[in-house]
Amino acid sequence: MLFKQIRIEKLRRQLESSAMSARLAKGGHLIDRDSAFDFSFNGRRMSGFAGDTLASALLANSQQLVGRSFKYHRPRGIMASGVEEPNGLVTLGAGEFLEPNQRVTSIDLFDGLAAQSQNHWPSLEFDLGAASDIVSKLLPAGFYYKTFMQPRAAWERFFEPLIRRAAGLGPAPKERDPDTYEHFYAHVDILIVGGGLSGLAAARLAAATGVRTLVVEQSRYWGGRSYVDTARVDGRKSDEWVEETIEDLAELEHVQLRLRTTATGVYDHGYVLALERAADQGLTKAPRHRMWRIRAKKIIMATGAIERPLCFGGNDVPGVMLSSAVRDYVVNYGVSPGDRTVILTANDDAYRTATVLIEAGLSVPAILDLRPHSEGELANTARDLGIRVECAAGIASVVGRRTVRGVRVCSSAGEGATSDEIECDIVAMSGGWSPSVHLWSHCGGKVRWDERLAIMRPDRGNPPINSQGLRLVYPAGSAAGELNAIDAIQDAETAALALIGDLGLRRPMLSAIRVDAVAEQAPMAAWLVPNGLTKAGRSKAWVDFQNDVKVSDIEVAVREGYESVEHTKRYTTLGMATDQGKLSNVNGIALLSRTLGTPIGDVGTTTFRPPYTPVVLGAIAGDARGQLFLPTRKTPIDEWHASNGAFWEPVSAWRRPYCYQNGGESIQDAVNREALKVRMSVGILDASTLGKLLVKGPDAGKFLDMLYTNSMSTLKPGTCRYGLMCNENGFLIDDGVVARIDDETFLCHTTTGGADQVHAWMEEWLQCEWWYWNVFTANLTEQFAQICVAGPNARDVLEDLGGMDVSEGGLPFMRWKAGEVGGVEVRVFRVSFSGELSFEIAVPSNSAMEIWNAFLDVGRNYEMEPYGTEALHVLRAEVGFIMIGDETDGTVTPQDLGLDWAISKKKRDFIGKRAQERAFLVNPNRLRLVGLETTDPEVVLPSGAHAIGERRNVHGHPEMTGRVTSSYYSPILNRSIALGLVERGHKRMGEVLQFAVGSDLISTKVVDPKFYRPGAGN
Amino acid sequence: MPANPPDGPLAAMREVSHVGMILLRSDLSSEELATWLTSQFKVDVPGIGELAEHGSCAVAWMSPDELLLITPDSAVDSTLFSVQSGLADVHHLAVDVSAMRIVFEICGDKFRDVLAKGTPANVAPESFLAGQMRRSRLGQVQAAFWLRDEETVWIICRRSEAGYLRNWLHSATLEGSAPNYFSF
Repeated sequence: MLFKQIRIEKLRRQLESSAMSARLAKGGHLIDRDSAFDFSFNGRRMSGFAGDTLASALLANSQQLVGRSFKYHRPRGIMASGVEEPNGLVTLGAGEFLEPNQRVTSIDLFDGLAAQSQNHWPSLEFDLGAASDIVSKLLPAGFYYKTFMQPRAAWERFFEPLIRRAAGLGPAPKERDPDTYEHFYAHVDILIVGGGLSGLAAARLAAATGVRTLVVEQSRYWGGRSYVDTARVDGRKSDEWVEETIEDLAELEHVQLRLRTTATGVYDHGYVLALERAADQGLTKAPRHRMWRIRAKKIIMATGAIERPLCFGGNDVPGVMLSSAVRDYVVNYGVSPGDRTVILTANDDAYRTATVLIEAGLSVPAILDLRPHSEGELANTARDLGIRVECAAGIASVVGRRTVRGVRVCSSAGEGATSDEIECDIVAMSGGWSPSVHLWSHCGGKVRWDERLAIMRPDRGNPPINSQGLRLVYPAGSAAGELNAIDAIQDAETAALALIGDLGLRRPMLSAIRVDAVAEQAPMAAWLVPNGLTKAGRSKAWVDFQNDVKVSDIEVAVREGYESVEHTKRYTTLGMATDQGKLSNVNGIALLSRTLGTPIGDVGTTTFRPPYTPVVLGAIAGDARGQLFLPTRKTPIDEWHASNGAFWEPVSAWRRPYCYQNGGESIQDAVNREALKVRMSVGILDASTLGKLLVKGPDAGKFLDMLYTNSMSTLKPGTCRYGLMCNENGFLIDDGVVARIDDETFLCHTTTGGADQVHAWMEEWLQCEWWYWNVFTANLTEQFAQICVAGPNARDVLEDLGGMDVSEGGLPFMRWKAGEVGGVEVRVFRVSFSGELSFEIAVPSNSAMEIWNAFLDVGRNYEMEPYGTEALHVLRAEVGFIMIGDETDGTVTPQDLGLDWAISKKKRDFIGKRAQERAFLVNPNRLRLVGLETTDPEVVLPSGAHAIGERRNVHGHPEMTGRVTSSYYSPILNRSIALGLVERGHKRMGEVLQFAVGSDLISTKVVDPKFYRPGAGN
Repeated sequence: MPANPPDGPLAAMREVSHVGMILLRSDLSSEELATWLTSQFKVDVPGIGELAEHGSCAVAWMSPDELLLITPDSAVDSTLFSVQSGLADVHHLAVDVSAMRIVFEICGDKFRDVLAKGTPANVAPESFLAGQMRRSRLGQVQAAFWLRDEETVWIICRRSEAGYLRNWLHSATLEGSAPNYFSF
């Protein structure tokens, strides 16, 4: 029965709304009636005009109900006309274009737009979640914290999933966003945020100085509220003045004007982020959003003010709107939000709405003014139009639940005894205006409470400051707290001139702008309507509409001992929604102060944080997506690897072949094949990523003696030496072969990951400590490709290619030679990282492919194959060579690794020497490098596995006595091998340790790390 | 919102080959260096952030003790030979680095808009002039760039990151993506 009724009701509504249009016959300053757009809301086809926002188009189609509230699922309608809108959040688009929580007042209508309302099931009109409203007494502030404490396990399994489903707004997009985004860097002298009258007045002055100026405006039109609220500027109609000013500014090359661009945050050093909505969703190839990364010397904050709602029972019923929004829809969009509007106000400004409505032919049954008197010019105009004005009057409650059907009138002072009931479909409320101080606060500017005007305004004495400690942000106009147009313009010009003076620029000779505006009477600070609202009323009076926080929730928090505004905010979630409390902040603070009995100024404010309005994640990522997500460094031979079956491995920022898979070969099989090939015949490796640092100067030898643990100054030109580098704490940080090129010149090879760090390390010592030594360095890592030919047949390959004597006599072990191989200028280093006969050939990167192909050609006779990094690792582990990053982790000394032979005893000093003499580093119980052989040769220990010791710690757990640092299957030995660090390992040869892997223990024998001794070569 | 006419890429991009580069580290205030630069390149020692050009050669300031000599690649060996004698008595390091960087050319009146999509350096016409080189980044990689003429900029980057930068430049010059900040 109930459901049938609901269905009938729904049908009736649909018929009604489709038949009815709220578009007025004339008016609509911002819309183009010749350009109609089709769009849809919850699948219903609607139409609007170019220039509409989604909000104005919805209202034009009589769609006031746009969503369900966050916690209680109450029906909610459009309340505002700008970025402060708390209720009108919809999901835009579908599938790959789906975007949740978009604000209807910020979406410029485009043809084909599709929007869905959120947070309801099964439908917007009938939402089962609204049951939570019925039991709202059981869901006070802090409800989650109090209720879901016990039993503990239930939180994760039951409560959290339940709450997650019940709360939240739109669905998260699941598909990849096909739109594109980009960043843009701009350096400006003056950034002006806000293109209303104040912003433009400041821009006019800034532009006249000739310095680079950028003006950003979040909406798609200039002039802010001027067209709606200010009749004449400089003797012209305000829109004409705006148009002329923009035309003048646009002609100047040093001035840039951007619409649809929101400054979302102000940061240190004049850094400002601004989001430009360059294109609509999915419509163009162009970037949809452009994130501006602005460096501004000075910032004008002309961000205007936002109207405050009033707290009365039922103030969230669809149809209760901000007074300024009601007149915006009429004037800017030619839309009537309703036929009969009751106005509830605490100031003169709302009378403007009454006048506008009457002029549009709509009805205003009453203006309820909370103040005892209203004799201002605006009030008198309204009276002259025949509007009933009631002073000291308020609203006791709203008639209607899904839509406003009327209001019950009461005295503003009492508890809400109804004196009258007025039929209406809109309540236009105005609790005063709050300057938009967000950007001022982002970077440390303080705000102060102005008791007279009842506003939080920027404290000019405590501004955000730049790196020189000077003023960075200059508030201007209503954002500074000057709410009357005459004062605002004057303030904006004064602020701009102060800024110009602070920049040391000449004061432009322009006459002041004259604005016609009427004087307004003082507003009243009205925090509750009526002032003595009953408890029942307070639990239906909303403070934060988006997060569903009511007056009663703030009182609960205070009752439970909350005093700090920051704590209360978090406990009640006041102001924590995506609207950042634009409507709720001041009311919340005032109600907290009222409940605490503390002056508002002493309660203080919460901190505004960027972004001012939400930013799509795609805009933050910019172009860093797809193939531009992260740069991958590639060697000159990379393309060849890619087309020859390379299975890649990231090595620092490079990609290197881990192995090359032949046909359907497994990775392990490929690694085994490659490693065996080097042992049995010959393999070829792209070692181009090795760091290559040139060190030159008369003091180069002395310098390298300090950098390396062994002696480099004694190297003869033409020879090479393996060296270790430690940090000041004595720990091993890098290793590699150093070749002496000539008397003054050394070439230091580093690990792949160490190239840039070691170069920086060298420069740090040369620039900061030994600046008087004559040494220069150059990082030549990318100048040379390096190719390693290794294996018993390596020499034959080089000889077949010809050009250089690489015989044992011609190029002995640990020597290098420059010359030609295969017609290419090369350096050949006779070094080995596998224990096999091996040559490393360095060629300028340009020639890398030429010689690589030449090697492959002659290598065919020896069935030479390329090998990857994993075979390289297997080969080096088989002969017990360490790898930086495997055997070292920043806590390992060369001595731990048994590399004492590479530490000079003769040198007076080297980096790390002192540290290596400290008690902890000479402790005989330190972990030492050993080889590890599992009892079962087929079992490969996982890297990082720990060996269990005999001692127990205070918890009775066994202490660890060692760990695996690298572990492989050795195809030449047909068994697993591993290197590890074991307590006093070098003294425990032959001992069997137990390595814990999961719940298993793996018996492993401690052995000499040199598992394999190659027969040939060295 | 700025509507961009669909008129093709914002700028033409090409890779420039045969650019010779020599890294030279030395005391930049030495008389010998000044004399050698004048005789070899007909230019003075460039100041901070400057690039001195003459004919097909250029000398760029890289750091307080480092210059980049840019020549046709055929002239690299002879220049290296000349520097050895010219700076024989001065502690210095000169080495061929032609193979370690890739040179891109961006040409078109919107080149500043393209650069500003990826570099935090100020590339406004009043701040980034002919005769200067910026060592900065583009997107996520290191890059240095200088003006060749009023509509042409040369960009150098690491050889290993050229693939990224090529893709980045392609993306930054996509048709319809002009910020129209420096050009209208």
